[in-house]
Amino acid sequence: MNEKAIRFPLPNSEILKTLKAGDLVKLFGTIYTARDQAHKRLLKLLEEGKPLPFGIKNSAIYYCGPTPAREDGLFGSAGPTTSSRMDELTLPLLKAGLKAAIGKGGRHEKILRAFQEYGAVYFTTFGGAGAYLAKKIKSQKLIAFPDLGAEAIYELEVEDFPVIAAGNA
Amino acid sequence: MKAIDEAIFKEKFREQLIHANFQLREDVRVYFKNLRERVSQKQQKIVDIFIENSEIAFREKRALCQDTGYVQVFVRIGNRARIDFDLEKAINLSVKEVYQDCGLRKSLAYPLSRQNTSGNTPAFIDYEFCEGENLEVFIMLKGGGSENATKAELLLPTASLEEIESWVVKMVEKIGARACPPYLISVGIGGNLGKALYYSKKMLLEGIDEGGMDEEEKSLSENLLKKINALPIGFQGLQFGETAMSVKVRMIPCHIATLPIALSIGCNSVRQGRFIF
Repeated sequence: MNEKAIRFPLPNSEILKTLKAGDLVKLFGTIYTARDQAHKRLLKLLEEGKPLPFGIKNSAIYYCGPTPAREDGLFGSAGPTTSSRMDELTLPLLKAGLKAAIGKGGRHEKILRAFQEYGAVYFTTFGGAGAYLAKKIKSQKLIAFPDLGAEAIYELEVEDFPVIAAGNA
Repeated sequence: MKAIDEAIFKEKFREQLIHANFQLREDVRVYFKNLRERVSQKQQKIVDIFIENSEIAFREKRALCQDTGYVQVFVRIGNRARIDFDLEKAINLSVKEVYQDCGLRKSLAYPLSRQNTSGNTPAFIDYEFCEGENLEVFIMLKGGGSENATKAELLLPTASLEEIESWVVKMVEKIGARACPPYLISVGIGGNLGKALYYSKKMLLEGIDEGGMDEEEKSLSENLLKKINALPIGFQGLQFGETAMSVKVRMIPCHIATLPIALSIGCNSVRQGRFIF
């Protein structure tokens, strides 16, 4: 289990190719939250040929619905949600250039294969460690679908955010 | 008769609901501490994240998990307890206040529109009646990940013990790591499907080493624990430690034509509170 550091958005996807399943990785930079309902809306935008609310090329999505922001403007708790619920909603995003998804639990084999085909990686992080993970988020900004509340899309700046590579790129 | 005062009831309920969100169950905390002593250094680093998580949550009043759950309440009402206020209203109002005041996630939505109910209500309340003058309240916060792992089935009444065991093990295998292992697992067998589910959920309140099972239940629970922990899941799906911290079994009689069985999963961040009035 080697420890590596990766910054998003990626300059290119070369670095992902150095990862092996089981590698502990620390993430830095900008990632975007999106879970069930936000995925539905992103897919609809893609279908209609409309622009997405963030640059999806070389980006990472975090399956997360945080608790509300506290006085310091940061989330109190922000751990991962179950990734497999997004299985049927992931392929169009990979096609559009998504390079990583972060969540918890296993996924359908065909989705893991799709990650590989698109040179992307599925990372798991720690389900049940929301307070710990929230402290790795240094800033947050609501960027789309405010009516979805916790399920809206937030742009996060993360530092030292621990994940485990679930497959090879 | 013992009069139950509404204001004091609400205060105690609020206190336990807050406690549940910020404080890890003591037996689970002890389990983590013991686990770190018997795993490799690399695995220790991961277990330590969970120990640190519980400390941060308690110290900084951050929710242990961002999924602050739906609020499941089990109420036991003594026949000499007098409640002259609207208990359900008091519970729901308290839930709304606590989730608002403590910055907790409101996770309840209408089933089709998916519109948020905006107060993490309604709480799901079950009642039991008993002898005595006390009002006993158990609170359980159940996240969506573990709730989605709930399984129920009507087996044939001729099913063998092996078939029952293999159904449970197969279901846990299917759930894999998606409900945040290590798990608390409980199995309700018999009754009707509703009762089997009810007991499987209620038994999640029991401590890892807490007794209360009869010989038959205990023997099945021990076999299940062994078999489940032989599955390649383990701590967070990382294949070390255990998949299940405990397995509880509750059996109740059922109709001669049926064999209902239900499986409920408590995640590693099982959050609970209780008080007696």
